[in-house]
Amino acid sequence: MIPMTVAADQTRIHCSHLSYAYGSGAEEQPVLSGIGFDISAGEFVILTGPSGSGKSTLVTLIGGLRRLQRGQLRVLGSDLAGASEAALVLLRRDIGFIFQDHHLFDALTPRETMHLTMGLRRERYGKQDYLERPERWLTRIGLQRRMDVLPGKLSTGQRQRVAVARALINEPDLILADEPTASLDPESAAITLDCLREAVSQRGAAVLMISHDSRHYALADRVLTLVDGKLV
Amino acid sequence: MNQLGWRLISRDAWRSVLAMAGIATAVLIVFVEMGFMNGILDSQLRIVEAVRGDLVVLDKRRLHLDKWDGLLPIHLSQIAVVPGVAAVMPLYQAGMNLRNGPDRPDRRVVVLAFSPDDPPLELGWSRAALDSLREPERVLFDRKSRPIYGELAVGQALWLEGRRVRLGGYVSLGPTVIIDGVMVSSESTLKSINPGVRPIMAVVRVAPGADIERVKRAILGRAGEDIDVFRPGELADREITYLRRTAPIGLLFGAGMAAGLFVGLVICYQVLYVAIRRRIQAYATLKAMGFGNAFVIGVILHQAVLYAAGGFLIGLLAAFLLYQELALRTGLAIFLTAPRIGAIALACLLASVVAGLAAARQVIHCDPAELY
Repeated sequence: MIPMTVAADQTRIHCSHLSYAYGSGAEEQPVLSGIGFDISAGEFVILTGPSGSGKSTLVTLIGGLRRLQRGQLRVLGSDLAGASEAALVLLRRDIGFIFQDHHLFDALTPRETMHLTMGLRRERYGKQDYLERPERWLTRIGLQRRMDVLPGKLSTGQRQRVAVARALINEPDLILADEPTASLDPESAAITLDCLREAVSQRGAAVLMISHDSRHYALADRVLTLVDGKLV
Repeated sequence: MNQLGWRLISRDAWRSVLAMAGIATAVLIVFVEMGFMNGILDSQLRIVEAVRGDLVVLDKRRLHLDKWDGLLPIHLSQIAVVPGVAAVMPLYQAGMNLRNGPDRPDRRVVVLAFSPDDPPLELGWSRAALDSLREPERVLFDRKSRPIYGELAVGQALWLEGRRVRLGGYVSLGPTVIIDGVMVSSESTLKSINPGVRPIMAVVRVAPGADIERVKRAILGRAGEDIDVFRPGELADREITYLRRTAPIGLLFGAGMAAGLFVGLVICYQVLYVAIRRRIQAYATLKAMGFGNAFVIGVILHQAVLYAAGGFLIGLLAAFLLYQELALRTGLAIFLTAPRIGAIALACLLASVVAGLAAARQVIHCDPAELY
């Protein structure tokens, strides 16, 4: 199990001296070097930097999708150093992931996708929640008339909005987003960003969003820039 | 059980039906192989099942029922005086040419003969048919024989080894792989055509209250080392063992069944592999979200079992129809029973689980970090 030390200061992410390399020995390629920062509850942080700077690696480490090699990393109060695979799986249930692509199951309608995701936190929900919550979230992202349509009949923007709702429906304390608006139409992009801002302002969630779009910087409380694996 | 597996299959109906059709073909192969194997075994056992007695005495050289080594007449006399024996009923058997009309070709037929006063077998005859055997040169015909003999009507003349006989009625037995058809006559009629024929089997009825095992041992003690004595069930077991192991029908058809199962397993694996490959990023997303490997394996096994169940039901229906046709055309005892259906269903389920686990490896090994 991950040692739980929920910080009184509401720190959602704490990392210091974090380094990561691909390969080993002579073929070792450092990607991150001496990274250190904190993100607290209610913070919207944008992570930017050129391609290959290590943004995705950093986010996957924070999301428990990769094993920590060096340094300290505490996410949602859990120390990830030496955490077991089972512990990482449990941690990921408390994180909302938004990827560049929606990666929805083609056989599930938006409503069913919400039901599936709610299953991760079934102890929180009653029968009524399964009726109301998906409708509320899908209405929030403007898909109130497309709740029971298979993804094949949704536009790219609509599918991505479903993916956003999927990441948010369990109201996670931390949201990790990888250029969620990169391929979206303006309407879908606006809805996506609104939802993320709401999660921060209304629930106190922390958001770490990779973005290359400088127009998004105004939405953020902070912008972290990675260059060659180092924060600058 | 979550509904994801079901939805992945039901909402990809055309692909799923094709997949199930492939699995159904493999299931049908297994059913056909099993049908032929059991058909051969069950057909061979019909004569044993028809025995009306407690013990069956055979010549020791007769290692299986398709060997025709006969008993010596003295054996019958020896058995008859064993304490506890109520009756000894010899059964004769001879291969003969049967001609159904003067211009028709000869067809080989097996003639079973016995005393109509105390038949050693029960072959589904009418009382009148059995009584007709008391008249000389009367025969009964097995109406389940293969159709090569043509229509045989009661009262019509037939020629057995050139001897004119008359049809007195019908029996119901059925052919085997080797025997196309059976006729029944009285012992005296057969001996008038083939005077040297020897009993191929003696059916012993034990006196009421006598211990069958004790009588069996006494017969063996009295009649010497030339004979074997079985209860009908033991004889059936020996015949099945011989056919399965020595013949070796079990090996031949067992290999066919195994091949069918393997084909089904490969089809199931291939279908799942392609379906998972197509959705690998969605599965990886599930893992990223916090669904464990057990959940995704469960989803895949659910699909595997659904494919297998669909394929099995289609295969079972096809097998049912095919069995009827095969039984009709071959005359063999090809039929479905609940244990046989259950055995194949279980094998199918196990194969689907193996295929599902094999296909699930790509999900287990997929790295959700690659989504970023």
